[in-house]
Amino acid sequence: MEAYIKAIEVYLPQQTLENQELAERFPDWSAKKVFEKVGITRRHIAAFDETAGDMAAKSCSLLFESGEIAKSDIGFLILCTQSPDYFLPTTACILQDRLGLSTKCGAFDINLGCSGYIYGLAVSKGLIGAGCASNILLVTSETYSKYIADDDKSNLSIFGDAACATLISTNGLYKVANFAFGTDGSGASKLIVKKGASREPVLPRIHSALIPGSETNPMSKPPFLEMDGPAVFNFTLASVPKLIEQTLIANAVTFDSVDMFIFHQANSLMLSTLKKVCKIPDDKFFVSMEDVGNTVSSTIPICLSRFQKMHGISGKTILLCGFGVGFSWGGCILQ
Amino acid sequence: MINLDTFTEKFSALFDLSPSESVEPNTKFTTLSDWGSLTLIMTIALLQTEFEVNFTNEDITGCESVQDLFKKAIASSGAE
Repeated sequence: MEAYIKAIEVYLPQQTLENQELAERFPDWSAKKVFEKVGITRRHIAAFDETAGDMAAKSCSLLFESGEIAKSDIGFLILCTQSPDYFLPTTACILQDRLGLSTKCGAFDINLGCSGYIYGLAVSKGLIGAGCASNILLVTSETYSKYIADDDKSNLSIFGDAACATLISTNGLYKVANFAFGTDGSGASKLIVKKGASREPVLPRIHSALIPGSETNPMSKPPFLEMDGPAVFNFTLASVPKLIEQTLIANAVTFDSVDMFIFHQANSLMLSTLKKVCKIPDDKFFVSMEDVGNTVSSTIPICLSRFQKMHGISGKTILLCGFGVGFSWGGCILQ
Repeated sequence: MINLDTFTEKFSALFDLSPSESVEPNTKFTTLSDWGSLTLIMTIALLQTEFEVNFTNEDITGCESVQDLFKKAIASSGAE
């Protein structure tokens, strides 16, 4: 049984962070300079009390409102997020209940970032191929904004919040063909939120207030995103060209037969450098991130949704490529 | 392959220089006021597109001057 992407809906939080506001917060950066460096003018930011689970629910509601699928027909729910509502239980389980899906529906989270959509597609294809489900809701939802320190102008400039609900079925717009994957955990520390989980727990604030010296105790500091931009950039340059080659081989298609390359939208500098390194013609390289920023696992479905609306899809061969935090990477062909 | 003058010009364009600063072949670029993670990333990108070399942070910050960086890139690209 083949798997197809049938529909995609995008949810963007209402609040935005514009370049002008960044320039006011960081006087040595102008709005023009921010755009020149990262290619982003706007990011959508989840409200204080809006979680990735909330955004996931909203994107799924948009999908159900479109009439593409009834809730009762969903056989599996997969949520890709690194911003779960709780350590446990699985946020996908909570989402099943919130959405009113059948209790016969399977549900689980995938903890991946920039490569997450590709891995989610692969798992969905496997579930459909194995006869475990005919209709799968693959949701990507991320609130990296909640991990970023107020004085971290680089990451504040790059990351935005978003959620996408993708319906994967036994028929649809794009057939999900074959994949290539990769992992290099030696790069784990290059894009990381260290604190709060088992390796570096954080003291509850109420306890830290009672313990003398806790204000200088590193365990009492909140968990923040740390990114070694140059190291991530070098990893990307080293891994993505090979990933494209491996994806083409896995699908027995040639480079020239690909109609469009849709990469994870990390930032404009990385995209323009990758385009040159991979020798992709301008008219075959899809970029759409200026008004949303780097939305982690949602960048690819946002682009796919926009590409479909702009160009239609029939007869197109599309190569998707996700890469980043982990380090983790994956590619696939849609036909 | 570009020459040192052209490379210096392209490298200089990566920076927002203060009025008292300039980028010359003998400039110790890590002391420029705009030197940081973003200019480091842009340097990595420049080296990749002009010389097809992947330099690490240490490869770049270990260079004394723009000219050093240029020579290292030439040597790594095998163009010498």
